Amino acid sequence: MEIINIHIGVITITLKKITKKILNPARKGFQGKPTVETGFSDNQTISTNIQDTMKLLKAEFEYCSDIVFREITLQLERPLGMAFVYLSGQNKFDSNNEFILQSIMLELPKILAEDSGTESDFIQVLVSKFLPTMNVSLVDTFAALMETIFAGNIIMLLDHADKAISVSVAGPEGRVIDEPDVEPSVRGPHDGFVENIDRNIALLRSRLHTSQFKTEILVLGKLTNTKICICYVRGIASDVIVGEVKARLERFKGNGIMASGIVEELIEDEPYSIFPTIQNTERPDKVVGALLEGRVGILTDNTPNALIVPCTFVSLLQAAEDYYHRSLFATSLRILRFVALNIALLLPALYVAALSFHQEILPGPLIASLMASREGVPFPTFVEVFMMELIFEILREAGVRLPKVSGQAVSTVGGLVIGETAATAGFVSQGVLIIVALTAVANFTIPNYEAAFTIRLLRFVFLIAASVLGIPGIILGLMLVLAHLCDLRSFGVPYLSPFAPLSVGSLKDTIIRAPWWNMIYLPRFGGEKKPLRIYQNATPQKPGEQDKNNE
Amino acid sequence: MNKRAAPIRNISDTQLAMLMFISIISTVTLFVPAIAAQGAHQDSWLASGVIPSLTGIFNVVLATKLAQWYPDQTIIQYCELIFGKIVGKLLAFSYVCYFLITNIVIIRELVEFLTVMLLPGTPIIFLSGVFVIASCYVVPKGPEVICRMSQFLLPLFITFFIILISLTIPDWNYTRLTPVFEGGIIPIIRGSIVPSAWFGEMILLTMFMPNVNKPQEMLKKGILMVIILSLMVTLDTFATLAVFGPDLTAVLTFPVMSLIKYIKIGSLFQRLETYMIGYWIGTMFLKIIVFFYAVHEGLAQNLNINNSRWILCLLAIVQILGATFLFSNTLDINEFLTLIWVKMAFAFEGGLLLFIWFAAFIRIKWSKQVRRTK
Repeated sequence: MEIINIHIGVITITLKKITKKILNPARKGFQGKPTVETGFSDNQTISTNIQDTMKLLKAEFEYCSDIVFREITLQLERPLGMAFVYLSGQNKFDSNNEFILQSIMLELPKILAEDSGTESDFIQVLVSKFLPTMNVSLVDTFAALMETIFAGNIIMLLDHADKAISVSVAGPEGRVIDEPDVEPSVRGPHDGFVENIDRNIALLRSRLHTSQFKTEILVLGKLTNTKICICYVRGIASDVIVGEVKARLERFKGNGIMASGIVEELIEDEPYSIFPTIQNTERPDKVVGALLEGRVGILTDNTPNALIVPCTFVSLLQAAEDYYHRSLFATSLRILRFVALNIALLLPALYVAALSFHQEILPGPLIASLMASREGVPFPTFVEVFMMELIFEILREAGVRLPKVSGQAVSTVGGLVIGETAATAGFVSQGVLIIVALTAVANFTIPNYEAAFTIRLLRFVFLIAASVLGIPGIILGLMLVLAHLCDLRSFGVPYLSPFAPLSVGSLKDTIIRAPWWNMIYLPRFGGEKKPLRIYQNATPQKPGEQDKNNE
Repeated sequence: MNKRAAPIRNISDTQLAMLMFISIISTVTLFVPAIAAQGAHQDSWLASGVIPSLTGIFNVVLATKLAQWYPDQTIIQYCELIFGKIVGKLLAFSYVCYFLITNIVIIRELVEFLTVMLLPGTPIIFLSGVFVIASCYVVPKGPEVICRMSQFLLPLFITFFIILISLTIPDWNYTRLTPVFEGGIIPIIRGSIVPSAWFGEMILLTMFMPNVNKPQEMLKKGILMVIILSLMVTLDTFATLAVFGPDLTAVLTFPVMSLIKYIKIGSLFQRLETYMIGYWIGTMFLKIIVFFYAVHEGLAQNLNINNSRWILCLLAIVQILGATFLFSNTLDINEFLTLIWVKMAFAFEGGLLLFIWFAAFIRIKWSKQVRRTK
């Protein structure tokens, strides 16, 4: 007996340890040392002796095949050492810019011979006379030097100078700006974000011609040194939220950040929630719209997805296009989308509940034809629906993963073979096929991919709830989801606002979309003030009416 | 001494009024028409709303008055302040028990409703277990979340309810309501006793008042809410009576359900009660959550402890078992409601609350006099 007790004790302790390790790997107050260290300290300044500097740089860039060191000696009264350092793949320092080198090598000695300045003035001469590019800066620490090298700049080192010149040359061409695949639109702009953060900021700036549009850059990740840009319009965005975003981002100390998804996971409010509390988009116009509402955008380098915080549940159901269509059309589209959301979430569950528990809720003829189509199907309704939903999800995932060339094959096999044959063979009823197809199509109407994913997952939860308890199970599930939604917050803003807590003024941009001239106030994100969107009555007026008003 | 954290004032007066509204209306609309018709016959539409609203207003006034004197305490806590440690604790504990018993009744009502309407043959322990365990998820989230849920549900509930009731207007037969005042005022009062007890559930305000951010507004909003509530209940009973007449209404288990079942527009729009059942389950679940919160918070305050997860588990088990084994069927519940629970409710919502108010009044007056003489 004792042995068994000991065994049970050991097993429980190990289980506890394992669960603790899985669930809570980073304990409170966890602090470690960075895995990788650089060869210089953070504030080390550049030595006046070029040989020392070059030695250090060469040691640092040992085994880096893409680094280029070009050392020249200028023949002055006494020879002056000079060096160029840059990463070959990161910039276009080629034939276009060769003339700089040429002029430095040929003209500089002449001018310096005429000009009898001290050697430390060389830098000034160089910058003012030999670098006909806009973006030239001086750096004096090693950390800054490394940063500029990785940014694709060319570093010019000079003997006897305690500063290095960093020349920015146009970087390599990135992907062309085109329409985002996941968020297309009929009306409105067709450009989407690309991978390069500077071009993404430019996309936003081209829509916001104001100095109050702020783009603060943070650099995160010890190894990746990823640029992250916090965008907001000062005066509209709440300082509390901007501060919170910055604080949450700065909390990250680690090796690296590859994409915005990682940023999202690091700063979200509820890491274990099934609902996304941060919105992401590929459309610059959507980000600008959010910025104008007082939200904060977060751009990450090397990612075409911008994050928008705070995010509310309704904002996930709104497409950018809603704001470009006329208000009536936009409103009807939103209502349609809301209906589709309910279909995508509840239809399979309701079907199972109706067929296995409450046949009486359906009209007689309908239940008769549904039952007739189920004749000979060997599975219970729940298994049938669950199986078909699962098969659809598999097909969908396959469609996403497969190379584009073989995509056709999946649709043929999936749509025709499985769907059609399963029905004719009598494995599934045609009713279930219709339900599955309808939910699938309805799910695609949700503009936000993450929100659509949530709905896909919840659909299965509701399916199980319906199979156990019928309609009461569905209601119970909805109530629990509602409780969870009421509890969620995104950067301090209640997730279900403006419904719960109710703020009547903000309801104008939810399920309905009021005309632009009617939306006078901005939605309130926790702030006490009530900022205006429109400063003066903008209601469209006929010519006669306008005269009357002016009098 | 006090281990409990100070209450956070994070719900608004309107939210709390909505919460009270939804938690009362969910059961009242279902059960009142039948119970009122048993006592007041064709005058039950007068009995179901008007007189009970007075109890509601009485409770709102006392609860807000007490909250004015003891702004940071619930009824459980100021009982102790007013009556001293031992008597106060006992009195507070009796309130906890009252909330607990009421919640057990509500859970069983919901389970009965489900087994009658939708899930015949499902074990009672399973249904009550599912609902209680589900509410265990919501209760610890606190009043803010519960209030927001009610704020989300209330507009939907009222809209659907009024639409469905107004669809029965073609079938209204006013002769079924005559003669008005046949037996004088006495039958009306008799019919309004049980509904009054329900309206007295406004006493739950005393559990939520410390969390309201504008307590001074609560009196106005609370009374307004009771008036709207009584209008809704009157409409509900009126429609049931006008369609079925007093005799049929009195014997139906859920008259409103039968009423909505009665609606038929064309061949497609029938059996509309399923939609309403959905809302009813939702709102009754919310009511369970509200009472569960009151019991849980009350017990924790009574025992003066803060981390009360084990109390939650304990209460959940007590409620599941209580709801399963205390009653044998719907008739049993109705008997308990009309014979025992009503007396209990009047004691706790009327007499005892008035007594507490009076004691507090004297205490405050006395302490003021003491201060003045000093």
